[in-house]
Amino acid sequence: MSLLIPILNGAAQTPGNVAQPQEGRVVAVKTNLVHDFAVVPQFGFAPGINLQLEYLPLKGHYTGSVGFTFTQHSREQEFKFFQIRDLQLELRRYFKGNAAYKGPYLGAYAEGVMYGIGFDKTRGWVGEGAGGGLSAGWVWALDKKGHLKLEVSLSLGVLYSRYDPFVYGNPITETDDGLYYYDYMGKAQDFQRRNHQFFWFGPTNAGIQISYALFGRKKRP
Amino acid sequence: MKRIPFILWAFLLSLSACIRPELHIPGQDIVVEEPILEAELDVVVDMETDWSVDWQYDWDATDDAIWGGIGYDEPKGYQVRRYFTGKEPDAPHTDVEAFAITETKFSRHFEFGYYDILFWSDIDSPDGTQVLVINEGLETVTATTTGTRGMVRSFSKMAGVRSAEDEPGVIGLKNQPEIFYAAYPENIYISHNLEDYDYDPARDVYSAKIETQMRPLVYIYLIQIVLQNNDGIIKGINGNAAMSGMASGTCLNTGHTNDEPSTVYFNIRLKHNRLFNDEPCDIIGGKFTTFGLCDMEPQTRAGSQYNGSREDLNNYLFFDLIFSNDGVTTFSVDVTDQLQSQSHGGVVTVVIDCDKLQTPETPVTNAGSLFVPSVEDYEEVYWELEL
Repeated sequence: MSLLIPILNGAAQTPGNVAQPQEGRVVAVKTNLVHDFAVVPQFGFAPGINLQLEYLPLKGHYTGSVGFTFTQHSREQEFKFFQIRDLQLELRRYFKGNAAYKGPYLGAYAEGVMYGIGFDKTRGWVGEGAGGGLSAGWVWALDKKGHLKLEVSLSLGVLYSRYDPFVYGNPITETDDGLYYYDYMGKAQDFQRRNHQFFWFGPTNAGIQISYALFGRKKRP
Repeated sequence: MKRIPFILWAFLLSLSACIRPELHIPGQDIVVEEPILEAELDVVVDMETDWSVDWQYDWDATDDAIWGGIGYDEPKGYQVRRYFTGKEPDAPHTDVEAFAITETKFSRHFEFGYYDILFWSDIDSPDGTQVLVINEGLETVTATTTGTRGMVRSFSKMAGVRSAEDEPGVIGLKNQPEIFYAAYPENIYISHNLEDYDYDPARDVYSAKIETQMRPLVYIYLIQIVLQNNDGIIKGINGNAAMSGMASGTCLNTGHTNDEPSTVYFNIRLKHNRLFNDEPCDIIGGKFTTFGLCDMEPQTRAGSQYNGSREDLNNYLFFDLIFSNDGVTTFSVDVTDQLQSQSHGGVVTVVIDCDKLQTPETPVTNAGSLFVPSVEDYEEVYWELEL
């Protein structure tokens, strides 16, 4: 850690520097409660794990973050699945300077997602997608030092996905053999995975997030 | 900080974690591949009119030589358009396979899924000059005919609108279409189920049959104009005749005629010294083929009454008579009721008492005819009438 600090500050401390150092934090660990406690229409309660790391420079307006959402639910007796893997990168600009990292912000994000979703015997989808767009939100400090924070956010952008619909039971022979099949009626040798596509423009994410800053260090005033 | 790589590694590991359920490709284990479908075409003509009784023109060998037979002939070949709509019935056509067959049966490999197949018979023009025009689209195929000579007449009169009248002009006449048949079985399902097929061990194929009934989309009217008391008043005819208010085209898929009225040209012939209802007379006769009346359903039973939406359209029979002084006059007779009561063909009879005809005063040969003989005379004229 001691080797990292000068590099992250962009300048080495010298004995001649007499300014009173202040404490700063390098990384904020965050979680999105909307992802953690998701309730999905036609599926129900689908809690997941959302973990984000936001890099906090010691000065300036900008932060960068990487986040991941992992949701894994399968209720096979009900033919329901809800599985999400979502990796998101975000660059934010906070309007307040001096590394306060609170108040309003604007950001740009990019994401990649894998999913397997099923609501009943005849409505299931599995696929991958990617997208990007803009995010905006507001951050409040919940303690005096500003280590614990609450933020709300909304993302607007595009998402392009290629996917396959799937069904329970063989759709050709219409037999219930306990297996799931691609919803495909053509010749087996002509089958190509991810032959359907989906494009979305609009709201892509919403967040109510709790963050806590870790790894204290000294910063110059 | 040392934990960050571990956390990222855990994220990447979970990225590749299995997403359930495990999916299978349907049809992998099915041994039937591209079954054969055998189509059998059956041409159905359901005409109840007894032409030999109702039609007293007495069609003879000369008529046969000029115009061909008066009935429906068996087709000699067929056009086939096969549309694969995938797994969805009633899906739009995105592609078509076109081929021709010469027999009423054909076998072909089919993929699994739904098919629409359109059949229509080849045109057998006696003189080799086909006037029927097939307009092919992916969703529908329509038929029209080429144009022929023109006619000087009120546009609204030609169109058959009873109440309208306007200044006469020259409009084009359509050729009468050749007889043809069509059928359009839809949503033929080619399943993977072996029980749907018969196994032919000789060919080692699974096959199924579809039986399709083809019906005529062109109907035959036999015209007879009975000249009573013709003691030399009518010297002869020049052969010109036409029928107004007929549909200018039809849809091969549905058999439904369009709503664009046209006037169809055909020829007639005069025979002297005939009997009509046991009375001596002269009879002008002719055969006239047509797609039918406007906005009309295809034939489902013989002699069906017209039930389309264009009862307002009149059907006028136009024909030229040559008087004893060589004067020519074009007559028009309203035969709407006869056509609407026999909307899929029949016999149309017009009786004229020649004693009541007025001989033209200034007999100049053909000057009184409304028929215009050459295309050049009316090429500037619109063919379709906006009603």
